[in-house]
Formats: sequence, C-alpha cells, structure tokens
Amino acid sequence: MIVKVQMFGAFRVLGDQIEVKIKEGGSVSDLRDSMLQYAQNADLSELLRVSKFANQSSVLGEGAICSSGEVLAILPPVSGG
Amino acid sequence: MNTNVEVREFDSNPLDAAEALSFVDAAGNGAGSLFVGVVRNLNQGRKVRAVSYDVFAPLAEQGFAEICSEARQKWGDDLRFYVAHAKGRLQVGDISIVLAAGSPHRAEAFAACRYLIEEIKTRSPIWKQEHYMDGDSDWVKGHALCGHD
Repeated sequence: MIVKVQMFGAFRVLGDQIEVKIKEGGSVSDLRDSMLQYAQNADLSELLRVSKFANQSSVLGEGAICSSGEVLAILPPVSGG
Repeated sequence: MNTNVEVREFDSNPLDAAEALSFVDAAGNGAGSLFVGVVRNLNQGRKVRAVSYDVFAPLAEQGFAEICSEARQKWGDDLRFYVAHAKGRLQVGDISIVLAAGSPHRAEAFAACRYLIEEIKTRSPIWKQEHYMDGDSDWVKGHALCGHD
C-alpha cells in the first residue's frame, strides 16, 4: 500500500510530499524502514533515525498502524521559538 | 475565549506584541507578562542574515493549546494566554514568536509565560533554517519529539 508523507525541516530537500510503499497493515516502523532509501540518497539516514511521524493530531509511536492513502508527516528534531 | 493560539504567515501578517498584551488584558487582571522572540544576527559564531521557519501548523496549534491548558492547571483557571508563531522567511530583527500571559497577580503571569516558551521550544513541530551572510544555509539541530503507540 501507499502512504503519503509530508516533508518538514531538512527533509524538504526531498520535496513537499513523497509517496512510500509499505506492506499492507504496516506500522510506522515499517514506514521508517521503507523511507531509508530516500534518506540515504539525500544523506539524511541519521536524521531519519531520530525523527518521528505524525498524523494531523498526534505524534505516532513505532507500533502505530498506517492506512492505505493516509497522509502522515515526518517530524525531525524541532527548533522553534 | 481566554486563549489565542495561531501560526501566522509572516509575509501577510507580522506578529504584534501589543496585540498579545491586549488579548490577555481583563478587568480582573493586575499583570500581563510578555515574551517576544526575535531573529538575531549571530548564532554559534556564524553571521545570520535571515531565518526561515517551517511549521506543521495543525499539530503546532494543537500543541500550543495543550501547553496553555497545562499552564492553567498549574497556575490558575483565570489565566489568559496568547501564542503566535511566525511561518516563512524572517530577517534579522523580525519577531518569530509572541507569547503573553494575563493573570490577577504577577507571579503566576511570569511563571506561566516562562513555561509556555520553554515547552514550545522542545515540543512544537517547528524548524528553523538559518541563512548566513556567506550565502550558506543550514537547518538548526533541535530536540527529538516523543511519540505514542
């Protein structure tokens, strides 16, 4: 299945949003693994490791299950204020 | 309504400290505490000419409201809060964040305002890209977020 991921911070170098293929019923952990190829190409592997994923209302844990077509966001370490 | 939280496009509507203090004012309040964050011209020895703020707005605004709720639990239901964070490219001297806390007494206003900025800096989905005088740019290293299953 396809999960759409909005890019933020340093991940913007990959575009505003990418589509990532993961197994049916896959988790955030699976999504992270599938994103590794994109991250490696942009030298963002380490940043991917310490980043979180979120939906529109909450930051998700590694075990959270993704849905086909869902739009998530990748959140690298934050630096606002 | 006793709380205002927002992410604002800087180009169309710059932040305004007076607006924040006006919002938290109330007849029963004897104190208004204000924090204004401004883009500075130097960071870790590098001369900065501008900063771009990237924000995941829906989650940021929800988080601002949660932090205000936490502050109200700590320092009183009668506190009023204003939180606004800029999004977009800001020049040195531009305002990136404005916070205000209004309270009957100064101790609670000071404490709550400090709590808001410290929590926002470590919990809000906001990213800062510095643009340097030498033409280089870099994303500022920050705090990792916590997630829940």
